[in-house]
Amino acid sequence: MWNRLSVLYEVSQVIEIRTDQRRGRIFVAVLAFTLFLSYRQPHLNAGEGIQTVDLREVLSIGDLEDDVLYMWAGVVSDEEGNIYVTDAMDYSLKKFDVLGQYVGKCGRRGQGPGEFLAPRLLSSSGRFMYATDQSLPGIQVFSQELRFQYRIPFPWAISCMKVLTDDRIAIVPVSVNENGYIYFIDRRGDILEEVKYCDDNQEMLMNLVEVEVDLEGSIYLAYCFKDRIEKMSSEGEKLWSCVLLDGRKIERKKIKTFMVPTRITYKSIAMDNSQRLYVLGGSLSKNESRDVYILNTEGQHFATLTLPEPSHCIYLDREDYLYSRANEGTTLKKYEVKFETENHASSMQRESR
Amino acid sequence: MRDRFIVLVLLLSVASTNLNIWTDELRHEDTNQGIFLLLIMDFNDFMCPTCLDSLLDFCRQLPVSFRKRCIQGVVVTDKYRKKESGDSFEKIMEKKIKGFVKANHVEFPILLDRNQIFGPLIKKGTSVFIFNTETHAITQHVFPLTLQEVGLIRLLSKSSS
Repeated sequence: MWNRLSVLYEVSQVIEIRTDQRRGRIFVAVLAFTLFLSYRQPHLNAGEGIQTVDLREVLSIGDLEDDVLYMWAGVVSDEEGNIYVTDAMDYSLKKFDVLGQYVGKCGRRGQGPGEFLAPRLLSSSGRFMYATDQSLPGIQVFSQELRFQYRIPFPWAISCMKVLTDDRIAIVPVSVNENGYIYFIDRRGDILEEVKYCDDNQEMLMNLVEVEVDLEGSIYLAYCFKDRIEKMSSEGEKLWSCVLLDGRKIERKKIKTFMVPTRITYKSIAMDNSQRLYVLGGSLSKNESRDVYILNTEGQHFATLTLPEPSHCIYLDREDYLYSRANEGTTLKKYEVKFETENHASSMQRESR
Repeated sequence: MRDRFIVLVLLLSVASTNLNIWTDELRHEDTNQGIFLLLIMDFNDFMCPTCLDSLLDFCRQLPVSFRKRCIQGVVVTDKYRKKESGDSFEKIMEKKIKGFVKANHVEFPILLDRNQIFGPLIKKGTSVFIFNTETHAITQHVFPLTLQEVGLIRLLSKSSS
């Protein structure tokens, strides 16, 4: 920072020589202040002193030669560190151990119990795995041994799902009329609670969000088609709202009678054990589908990390390892997230426990 | 227009070579007439369960022996390919096709259109091309097929089985 200020000082000296003395000083003062603010922004880290963040690959599952993963869609881990993925290309739910060794799979193409047409989202209570299907209603529940347990009915297509406990699941539906709500359901599919997060009477899809819920029940929303990230209390009170991409708007185009968005703003949201929020940017980000914005619980953006390859989602496990996509979904990567502070480099995994 | 002509010529030359081979096989097996199908698929349809249903249901209605002997699949990935796609793109796509074949018990061979030749032929969507050895005609049918089209192809395939 001091180097940058010294550069600004040198520049101001040059400008002062070339302009009227008094006007030049005022201009330079304004310029210096503006530049100082713009340099300062990335280092506003809410007291954490974090300068940069980096990734170190620790595990890679699936490659171009094997038959392990064809197109993984959802990922989750259990309490022992086993990794589960839904594979959209072979209609399956697969399990890998903590070292990334293939353990087994279940599922096949179909509409019966334990079968899939288009497996997508995956979430876990620790004990059970919950999987959605783009073409089948409801949520299928599997044991850690990949045995189908039961199906939870839900009337609408599911855009986002977060399992908090086996009896409390947060769902964001895709619905023409029911947009702007998060539903909390139990294992029977009964609605326990509805939380309205958006009052805008927007057309279809514009209010879709990715959701994360912290241990206190606070809800974090990353809008898929708007530049907006918000935090709400468990009662639905909006606590803060922020933009990361200058409030840019998504273009829409007409398909039949619907106006649909053409690009995605934010694709995924996750929280680590230190209550840092990770938001995966989409098409509007500088590095499309690779930039992950890291915010504190007050909504201050203090760091950005860039994934090596575009991803459709990110996931943070219980030990704060970050998972993302590679090789167009034929590979799952697991990374350690390393934060560099002013004083020392620290790994998130040491801080989290 | 010129591109389409070139592609059609290429296709016909490939087809005529294969037609000779298949025709010989059919004649050897003492059939009077025969068809073979060239199924050109847009990779995007693999991600569309409804589109896939239409395609797989059609294939399942054809006799097993016909499926194994008289169909060739080609997957076009033009729309899926990005400017920055590197050399690994083909490997990735072939891997995905392998997974699709295995998961859906596909009995006919499927190739990847590595040289992006077949894309212009399916601008309206995934299509099946019928090569008729009897009439020496080639007809294109775009998915989803009508009931009449399915019926016709089934009838012709039974003659070829």
